[in-house]
Amino acid sequence: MTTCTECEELYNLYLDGLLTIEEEARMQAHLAACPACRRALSDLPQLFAALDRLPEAPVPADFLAGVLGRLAVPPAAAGQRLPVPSPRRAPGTTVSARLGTLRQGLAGLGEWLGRSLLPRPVPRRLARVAVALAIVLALVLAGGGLSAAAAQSQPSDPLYGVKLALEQVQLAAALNDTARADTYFRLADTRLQETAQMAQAGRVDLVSGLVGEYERDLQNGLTLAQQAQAQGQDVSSLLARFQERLRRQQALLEATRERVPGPGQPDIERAVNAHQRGYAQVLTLAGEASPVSVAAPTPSATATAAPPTASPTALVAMPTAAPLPTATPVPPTPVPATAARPPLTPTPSPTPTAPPTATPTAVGPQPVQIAWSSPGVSAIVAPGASYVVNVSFSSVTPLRNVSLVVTSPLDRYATVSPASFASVAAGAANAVQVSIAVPAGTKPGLVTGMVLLQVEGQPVAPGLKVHLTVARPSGAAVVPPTPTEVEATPTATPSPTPGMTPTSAPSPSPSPGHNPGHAGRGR
Amino acid sequence: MTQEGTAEQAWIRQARTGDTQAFAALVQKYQSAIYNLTYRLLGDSEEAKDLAQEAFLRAYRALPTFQADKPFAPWLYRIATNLCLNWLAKRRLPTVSLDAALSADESAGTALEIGDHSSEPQALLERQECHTALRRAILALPPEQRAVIELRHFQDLSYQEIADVLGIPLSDVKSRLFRGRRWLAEALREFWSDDHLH
Repeated sequence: MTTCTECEELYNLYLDGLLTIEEEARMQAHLAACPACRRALSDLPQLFAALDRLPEAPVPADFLAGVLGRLAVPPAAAGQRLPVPSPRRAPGTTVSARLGTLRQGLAGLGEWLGRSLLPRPVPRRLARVAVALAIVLALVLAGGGLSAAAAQSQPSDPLYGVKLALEQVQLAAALNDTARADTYFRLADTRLQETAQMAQAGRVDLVSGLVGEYERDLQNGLTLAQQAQAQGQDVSSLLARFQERLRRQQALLEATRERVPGPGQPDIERAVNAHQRGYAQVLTLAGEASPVSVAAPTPSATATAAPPTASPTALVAMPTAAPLPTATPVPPTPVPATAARPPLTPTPSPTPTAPPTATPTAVGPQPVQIAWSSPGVSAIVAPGASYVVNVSFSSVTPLRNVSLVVTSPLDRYATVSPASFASVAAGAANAVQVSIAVPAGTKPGLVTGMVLLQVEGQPVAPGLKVHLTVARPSGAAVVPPTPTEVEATPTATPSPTPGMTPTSAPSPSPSPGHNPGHAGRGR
Repeated sequence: MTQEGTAEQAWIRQARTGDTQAFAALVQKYQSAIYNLTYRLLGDSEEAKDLAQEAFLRAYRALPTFQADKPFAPWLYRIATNLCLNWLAKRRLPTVSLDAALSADESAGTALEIGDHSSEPQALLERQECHTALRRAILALPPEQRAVIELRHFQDLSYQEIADVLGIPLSDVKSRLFRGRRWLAEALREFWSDDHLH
């Protein structure tokens, strides 16, 4: 005998599409005999529908920029993880460990200060200011001559830690993203100079950590520049300074590459790759900025061969191998016979040293930014009826070869028209008609899915959410029917859409007691 | 493997190597889901934004530990949900920000009802009232029930996935979910008994 408590559980499971036929029969029998349960449970289908229809809150416009701004240190890749420093490690033995420890310590201090002063998570900027104050205080206490001496120190010197602390002060003191981006690029310069000096001094053990920091400083600077540009700031002079620094770095890298002993060569190649990536990104950003005083590089074969979607857009774009510009073109450095490495200046063909992130993988990060006129569509359609809804999408940038697909299992019921756009103009609203047809005999339930935009075959988020509730067939119900927000005309006949076949046979016992189920979740 | 899944895995692979561009693509894909998750759990748009961003930050840092053969979304939801639950546990007083709920519906509600043919002002108003009442009711639930409702109804996770995300037995998932639904249905009964079709 099924109790009322069991019936409530069964009914919940039923709405989630998780009941066996036997359990459903038990539930139906109890409901038929228990008016109290019928009353108590009658609101649940309506609750499901109301939850489905609750609008999504719009994401704040600066959300993504905020996340990227908080990415202080990229996760160490497998095999590149920073070594855990030992407290007894002799100073200067592992630069990366010292850098990592210091930065983590500072971040922790800032976080602690911020969280202990304020009742809620604080912006990282406040934490940085707290860190800066703490360090300045420490330096004042330590004596004024210290900072001058530290600034000249090398990674193998005991004062090097103070130099790094001073750099953190400079970063924290930077008033805005542009200033911080400048600082990061200056730090990248410093790291590269140290790399060259350590390589020359035969301290190959220190080179790897320095190159890692060089990569991060470059990337941080670029990310901040992207952010500033995305926020509408004029970054043209910043990008020009970046280019000037990168040009000088190129010469230094060329020289270092020739001098570094064999074991250090992979690290220098890593730096070369980071430099090339950085330059490509600067060019990309400069291409978006208003006319910049950027020496237009001669387009390389790879650059011109890039498909239209690889062209720069708001946030992410990374050409594979943009040419390294030089005010006065420098011929490729002659490569010694012993080395098979490519010259720093990219050749028209893709270089074998191209980094993984820059290679044209099957699916690169999509810089495309699109928006739908609505985050979702919710429809309740009875079997045998159809429903049409009009929506539109727009893109921040012009697009080509756009197609629209409906995800499974929604594709059994929904089609979109048009299914493709040869081109999409920036900012224009592109109307799309979503047609939903539920074949007669389809079992009631919830079908969720998305209409997904694909550009050049690659999906672009966000998709248009579609929640289709296949309504209960007409007839008496034990449980009151779910009110319909979007009710299809029951007289309509199913559209003769190809491939739109009933997904299941009619319910074996469509008794008057049959119910509105959300069987579509299927878990 | 769907194309979408393939793209996501490529982004994850690249982001694990420190590629912030690839991670930006992941953020773009999930920012609405995560922001809305934190917003529905916390009821305050500022807190929601802060914790949603923190969730992405933690995900980025934890990417090297993410098992690539597992689905990414539940892993991300776990980070965000646990952040919110920890945050709610530290909050001294439960807050139900009606203003926040109202503003969200004002900005999103009317635009969403695209398929609704009965968009007369009165109907829209009633629907917004219902949405506001529902948001308030969700925020009035105990956090552990709120989280289960969120993961089931808004993130479409299975019972087992919810159990994994929250680290609780399957039986607890069911009891919290069913109790939460019962409470919500009762809280909103007035709308349905008045024949308000929302």
